[in-house]
Amino acid sequence: MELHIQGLNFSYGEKKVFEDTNIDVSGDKITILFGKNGTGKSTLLKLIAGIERCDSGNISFSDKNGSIFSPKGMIAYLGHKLAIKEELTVEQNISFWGDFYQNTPDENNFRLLEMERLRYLNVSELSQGQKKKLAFMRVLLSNKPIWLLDEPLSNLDIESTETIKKLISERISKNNLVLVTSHSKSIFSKEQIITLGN
Amino acid sequence: MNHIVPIIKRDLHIYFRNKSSIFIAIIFFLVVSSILPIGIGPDIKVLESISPGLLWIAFFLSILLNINIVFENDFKDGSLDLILIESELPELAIISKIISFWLIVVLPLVIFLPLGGIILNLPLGNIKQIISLIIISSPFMILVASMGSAMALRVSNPSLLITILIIPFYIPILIFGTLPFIENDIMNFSFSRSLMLLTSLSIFAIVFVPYLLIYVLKVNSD
Repeated sequence: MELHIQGLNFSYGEKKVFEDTNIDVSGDKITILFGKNGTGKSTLLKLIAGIERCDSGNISFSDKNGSIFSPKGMIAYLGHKLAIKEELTVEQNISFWGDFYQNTPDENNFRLLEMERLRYLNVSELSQGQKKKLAFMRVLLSNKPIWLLDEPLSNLDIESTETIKKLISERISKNNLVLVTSHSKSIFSKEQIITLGN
Repeated sequence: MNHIVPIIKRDLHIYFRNKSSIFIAIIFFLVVSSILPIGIGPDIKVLESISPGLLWIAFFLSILLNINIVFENDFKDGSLDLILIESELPELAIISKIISFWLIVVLPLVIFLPLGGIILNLPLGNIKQIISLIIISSPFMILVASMGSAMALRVSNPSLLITILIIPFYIPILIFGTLPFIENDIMNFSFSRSLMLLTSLSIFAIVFVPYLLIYVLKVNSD
């Protein structure tokens, strides 16, 4: 699977974020969108996800035969807003997204991400890192082939960081496309870096 | 189609945990229904002639006061973006949110409508007919009001803005909903004709407004 961005132009009011930007991403490695604050990493993910609309240009996906396809219903997006309900418990949040995606939550993910003992706690009682792990569990649950992850490793402890890195790396071996924004490089063993802001 | 039940189930769960929306709507409706007759004075005939309109207005305002909850919570925590981009039919997902609102705010209000009618000194026969008209026009009312809610997502205190934006769209409902109860009506507008017109408006809203809502929500989301 490949992602092609051609002649992308996007601005927030007067501030130009992307000007005639061209990017090609192949799915055989995890793609890291690297850059300083304000260089448009999160914006690029939103544009690819369809949350933002580009002023002009083209964003398309192609399969291994080069055929262009619509990514509708194929994208799992993890943004700064985690899409979890503070009023509900961890279990209720996961159960909702499970019903939404029509997938059964994998018990193994609760164990891997050390969320088992937090299962019946209200999300409002969780730390930022635990909320992040819960949001990542939603991405796993979605079982979508395209993952757009905005700083998925922020606020996490060392063990959880390693677990999530491992889970993301496993995805790439299944012919999926994974884009991750980050402030650091050399996170994954198989990664390609796209530096924004140059 | 598969998103409808989970979204309604989750929304009801959240609304029931935070019951204020239900109670605020009911209390507001009863307070408005009680205060309006006081302002009219002791002439019971004047009250009888305008009470159908007052009941409609009290109902409108109770809905508009709460309509911001339809999308607000999902917008703040990012769920709305996911529902829009990850649903194969986002229109149905949006309709689920409208159904949740109907169940949690409109249904309790409908239950309290007879009490409002009694406070406003409406004859029992008229109360039944007005309730039927309100129920049948409620999809139009909520869908149009939720357009206002979608437009005002980024506004910090949106209720007043939504009311100003949406009230003009309620004028046809107010006309069709009160004409059958007006004495000396030269048009001789019957209850069944009102029912038919309000049903048409609701069907029109159910068919077209979800598409507009998706557009407005996408423009107004992150």
